[in-house]
Amino acid sequence: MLNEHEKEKYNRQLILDNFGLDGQERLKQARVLIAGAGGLGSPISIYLAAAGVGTIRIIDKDVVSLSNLNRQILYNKKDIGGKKSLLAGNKLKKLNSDIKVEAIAETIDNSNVSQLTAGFDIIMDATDNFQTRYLLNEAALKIQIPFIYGGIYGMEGALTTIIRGQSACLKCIFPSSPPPLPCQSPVLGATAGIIGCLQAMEAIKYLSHTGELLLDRLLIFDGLYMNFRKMKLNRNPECPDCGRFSSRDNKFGGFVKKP
Amino acid sequence: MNAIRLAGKFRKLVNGLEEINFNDVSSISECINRLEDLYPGVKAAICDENGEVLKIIDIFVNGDNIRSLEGLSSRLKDGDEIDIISAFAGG
Ligand SMILES: [Zn+2]
Repeated sequence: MLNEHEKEKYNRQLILDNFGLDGQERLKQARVLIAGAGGLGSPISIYLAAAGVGTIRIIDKDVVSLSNLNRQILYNKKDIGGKKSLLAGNKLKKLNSDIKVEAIAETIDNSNVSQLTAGFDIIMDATDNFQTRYLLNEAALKIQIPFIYGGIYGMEGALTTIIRGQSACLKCIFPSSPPPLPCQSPVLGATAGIIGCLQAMEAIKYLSHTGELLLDRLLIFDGLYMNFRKMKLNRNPECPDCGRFSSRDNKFGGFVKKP
Repeated sequence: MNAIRLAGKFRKLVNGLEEINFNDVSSISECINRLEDLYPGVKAAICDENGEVLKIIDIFVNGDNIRSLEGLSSRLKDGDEIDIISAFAGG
């Protein structure tokens, strides 16, 4: 149950149509995994913490460097050299002391992905490579939780919401991974902000049972010319990751609506 | 007329243009060949040595993936919009 302090703190979202105390209570009970504490992980974690998501686990092995600061708004100059996950954890706890934050300084790989994702309600993609994304995609399909993909390049980016049996998965969309980006690939901080905020919006909608999700649609953002476009996605019946799951095979009942 | 847009890291192959416009283009493969004539290097970025679309690329006609249409043979009619994107990998 929400206490009086929480009711006041979240008042401006409690008065949203179709959100209410129920929606906020669902956020409070929710456990969200954020894979990555960089450009996308910064806005995702900040907005989910501020909105009152009850438990946030943020995972990143990296340390902060000077050239991160144009976009990784969790950190400042004093943080350079420190572990991102721990610094992010502290920042998020300061931002909202009513939530639980777990910071984990590990690299997500085949050996730990099941253990790291077990018991969570949703996985936020804030990674910078497709190897990790495919692992998280598979893990989310296996335990039937949504995976919110986001990716950026320069002043452009894309996102989609993936739910087993309800939408195309990451392997349906991109059957094979692009070569790893050079470390010096371009990115503007505001691009990470836009895509990360849209991912956070999808998570809050899913967790609070509000609105319609970005299922089977890839939203592409072109900041250079300021265009948003939605591309239709289709499940690949032969997809190695999700092909075996039937469309009735989901536990979300009536809430999940397609656009 | 058909509008063709290349997203992400491909955009620099077409000098950063928002879109390229062609008249009387009948199929996706013709579209790619005409792009290659104007902007050499585009075809090698999109297709493998056998001329198949790379698996890290998605091509959409009016928002529909050509994998669910007829691939490179997908027909185009006047006004169709083509989006060519590569997986966005940064985070
Ligand atoms: Zn799939």
